[in-house]
Amino acid sequence: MSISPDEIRGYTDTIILARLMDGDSYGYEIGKAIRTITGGLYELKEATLYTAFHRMEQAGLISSYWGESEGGARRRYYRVTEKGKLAYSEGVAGWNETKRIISELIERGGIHDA
Amino acid sequence: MHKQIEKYISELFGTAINKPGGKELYSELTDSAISRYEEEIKNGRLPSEAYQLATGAIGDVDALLDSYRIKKRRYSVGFWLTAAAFFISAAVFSASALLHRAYVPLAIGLAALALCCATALIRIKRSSDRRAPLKKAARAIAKAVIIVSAIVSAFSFASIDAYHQIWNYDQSRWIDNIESVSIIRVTHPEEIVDGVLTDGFEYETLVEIDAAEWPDLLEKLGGLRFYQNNKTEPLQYGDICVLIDYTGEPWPYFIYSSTCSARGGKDGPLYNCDYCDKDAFDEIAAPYLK
Repeated sequence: MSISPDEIRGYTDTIILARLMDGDSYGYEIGKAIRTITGGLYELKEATLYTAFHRMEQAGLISSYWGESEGGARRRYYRVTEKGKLAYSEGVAGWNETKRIISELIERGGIHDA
Repeated sequence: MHKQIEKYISELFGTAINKPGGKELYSELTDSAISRYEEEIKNGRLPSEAYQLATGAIGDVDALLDSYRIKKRRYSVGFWLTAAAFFISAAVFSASALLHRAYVPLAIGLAALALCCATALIRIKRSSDRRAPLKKAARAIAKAVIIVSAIVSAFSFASIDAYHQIWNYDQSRWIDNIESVSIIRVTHPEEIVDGVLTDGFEYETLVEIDAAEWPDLLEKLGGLRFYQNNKTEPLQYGDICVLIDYTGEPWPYFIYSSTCSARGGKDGPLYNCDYCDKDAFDEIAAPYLK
């Protein structure tokens, strides 16, 4: 079963920030990490990824710089900023809260227990 | 297969590649897609499968370009110039057919051609793809050829139009360059065979006037709109006619020459001269209408 993009669209930025919290990275590497972690169940399209990069850079959550690939070609790397780290923490906290609320809402018998 | 991936993404970007920021974005996406392709190949996928996975993972490039505020034109500047040249030329040619001013479409056509060539040159100059300047130049030349072809097509309207104007005997036309004028008397009438007029009339020339000897002839007859041989009313014995040898406008109208007649009846009143300048006809032919 693959994961519907609608289910986690609101957390795209947090997912990307999570990858950058481990170190600077570039588009393909981040996309590949997401596919690997989810066992191929979720994949961020390249266009979605780069749209998010642009949005997050505009918002000051990440910054970018040009580096070199193994083959010597130019490649844009992304780095999380302090503001991005804060946004990541808020995103994780928000997700945990959402997860708790949703779990309570959909758990069988929850209403009767309350 | 790398080239195919580059081509695929290039088509998704269209003209946005040449916009500020577009080239870098294109390079990043191409780099990612090629990396994905190589990854899938290492995983044992067939090249065609790896290609599908790599290109399928690209997503909505239009939305991406929108987020970067990079506008992608569906058609290039060259396309629009070509279309504009085509339609403007065709329209002006139609107008020129009415006004008979060949130099107007010619000038516009040349201006359009110059614009198109300038566009092609600018595209070459502005190209950020320094790795393949010859390829860019070849593309630009190919586009220029297409543009010129379109313009030539537009000009061909004139030829087709002129063809119909010249050889369609049901129409009357302006006389542009009169070479000579002859007053003739019909000595053998035209005949209608099975409802079709035969050009079998014969005549004697009463007087022939060379345009060079009559400087104001062109001016005098420039407004004469002659009436082509009428298919339903053949020339009769004794009719007096004005035969006008003329050529049409110079290039791009092809040179043509023809003889036609404004016509007067042998007993006086003009007839079959719906478009004639009767005063001009009188001045030339009246002395012979006796």
